[in-house]
Amino acid sequence: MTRICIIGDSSVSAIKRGWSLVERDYPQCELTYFACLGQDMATLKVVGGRLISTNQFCANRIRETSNGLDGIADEYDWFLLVALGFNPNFCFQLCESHRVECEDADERVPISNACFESMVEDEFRYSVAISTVRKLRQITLAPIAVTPAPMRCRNLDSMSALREMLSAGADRKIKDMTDGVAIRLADECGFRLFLQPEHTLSSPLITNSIYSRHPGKPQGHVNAAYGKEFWNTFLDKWPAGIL
Amino acid sequence: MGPGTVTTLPSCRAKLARLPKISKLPSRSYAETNEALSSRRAVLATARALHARERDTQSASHTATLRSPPVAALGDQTVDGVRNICRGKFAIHRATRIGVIGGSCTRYLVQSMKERGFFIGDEERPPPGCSAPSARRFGYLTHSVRTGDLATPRLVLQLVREARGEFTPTDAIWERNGRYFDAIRPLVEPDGLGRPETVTDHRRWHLSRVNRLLETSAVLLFAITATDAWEHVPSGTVYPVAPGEIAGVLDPVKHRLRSFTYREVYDDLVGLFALCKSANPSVRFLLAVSATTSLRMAGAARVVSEDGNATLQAVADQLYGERDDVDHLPELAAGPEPDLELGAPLGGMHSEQATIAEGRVVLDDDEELETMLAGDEECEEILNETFRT
Repeated sequence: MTRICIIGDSSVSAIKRGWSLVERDYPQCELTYFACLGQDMATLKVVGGRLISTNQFCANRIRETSNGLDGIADEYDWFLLVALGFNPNFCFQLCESHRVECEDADERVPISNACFESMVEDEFRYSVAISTVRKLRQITLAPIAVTPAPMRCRNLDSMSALREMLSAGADRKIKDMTDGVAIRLADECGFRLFLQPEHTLSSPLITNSIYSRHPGKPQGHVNAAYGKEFWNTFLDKWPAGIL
Repeated sequence: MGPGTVTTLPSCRAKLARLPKISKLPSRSYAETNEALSSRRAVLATARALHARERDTQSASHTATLRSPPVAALGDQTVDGVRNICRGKFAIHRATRIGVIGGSCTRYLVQSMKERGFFIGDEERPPPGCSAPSARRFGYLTHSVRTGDLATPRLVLQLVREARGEFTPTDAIWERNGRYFDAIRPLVEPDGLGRPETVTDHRRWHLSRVNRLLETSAVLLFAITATDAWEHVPSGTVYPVAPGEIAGVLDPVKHRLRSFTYREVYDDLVGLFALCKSANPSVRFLLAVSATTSLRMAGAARVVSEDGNATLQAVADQLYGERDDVDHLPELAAGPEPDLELGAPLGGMHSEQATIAEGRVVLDDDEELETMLAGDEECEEILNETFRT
């Protein structure tokens, strides 16, 4: 039996719902969830070899989502951290007001690729996900994986300026830079990075709307179908023999 | 507000500190959240009103204090007892927009003035979400525009001439290992840019922001700390660092480290003021002169140049005496703590500016709460649906 501990924010929802669609294919896996809002999860502390929260609201959430556990112990084969501020979506908002080097001059503020990458690194490095990785490392040697928040589903009809930007290929460059920073950080901090499955994206920075939790309504959360794609993509990538 | 009513800004801040932050509430019912939010907003509203009243009535001239004044000036007083050594020539209010350009001491000056509540113009702000250390690495937050350090009056004059369309620098893009640097501000992009065209594009944007700063600042503060600069002799273009130090190539025939004379420094500043006035006739000027010894790299050899502090002081004194629109601050000490205090300490709570905290650019408290609450509500619903069904 492979025991997988999943720690995350509301993005865990799609992962959990997706699991219910594939779990019969992986009968040797047992999943335990610990989910709460990201900023609340920041209250986790290492106490007596476990991660617990002294914040009552977070402690209640942890108990509720894990079927009664009051802390995270070193009793899993894998830890998977979902989103928790490891969220590349800010890039999209940034591009509404700023442009990186590969884009043509327009009224947006130019920034260098190096500055952009530095911002991405700030965003990721100071995320709750990375601080949770560090806390977990104090209690376990088990492998830790991090998957970023999925890119948002968007309705490009209402964003003509951004559509032009995307057609210029800047989105691919931005995606590559963002992924590059995440990969470097994973190497540095000693976790495995599970990037969003490419085939769930309609363009480098936008999730295909078929995975939207509310089809036709552009928003951030994805559905069970996304969770299923996530599991099918990544369970095969985990070390041979563990499953 | 009942018992514990707050009547001063410090007591507002103390009261806010005692109230629970939304993210720190032990439980997260909407009733409790709304109550906490209302309490915080009531204090914020009081603070805002107090702040506005104080800003409106604050009209005292700026005064300056030296932490280490000349011994002769001290007499029998202790350092702590010495204040208001000099009185400003014109008033600087809280709402007076101050543009700051200058040498390396400028970053400390800007930081110190922001902490005291002065309204420092910032025409090239860091991208949203950029941490303060990253922002500073890329030349943000240290001056009112992303000029990098411009220590010499001639460098500042050249920038303003270029922004006003009166000058085009020669050899303005330097290359190193396939990366391209803006020779007039090579340190704002420590790794350079990918193409020379991008350097031109970024500089064009920068100059537009310099123009905006000139047009919108009520006071321009120039922190001048040196009288020398590297010069491209045939064109007269000056650079803040030696060609070849960061990028580019030093050509001993074309380049030289030029020390400007008293007359040249004086003429440069007079020319600078005239150009600034052409953009904004009502602008006034503050000169800050720093006592530092400049060190300029020239290939493998180091050239140490006294920066002519006496010259700068003398020019500043003369301009102060000659012009009603020029004031100057006492000598700044080199180092991370500028020995300068403008007016009474005003504290934080400056509504026009986001608070820059070490590490992160933080939002106004109200905005922080609103943003957090809006996002949290949907996420809470999703977690409830997923784990309670």
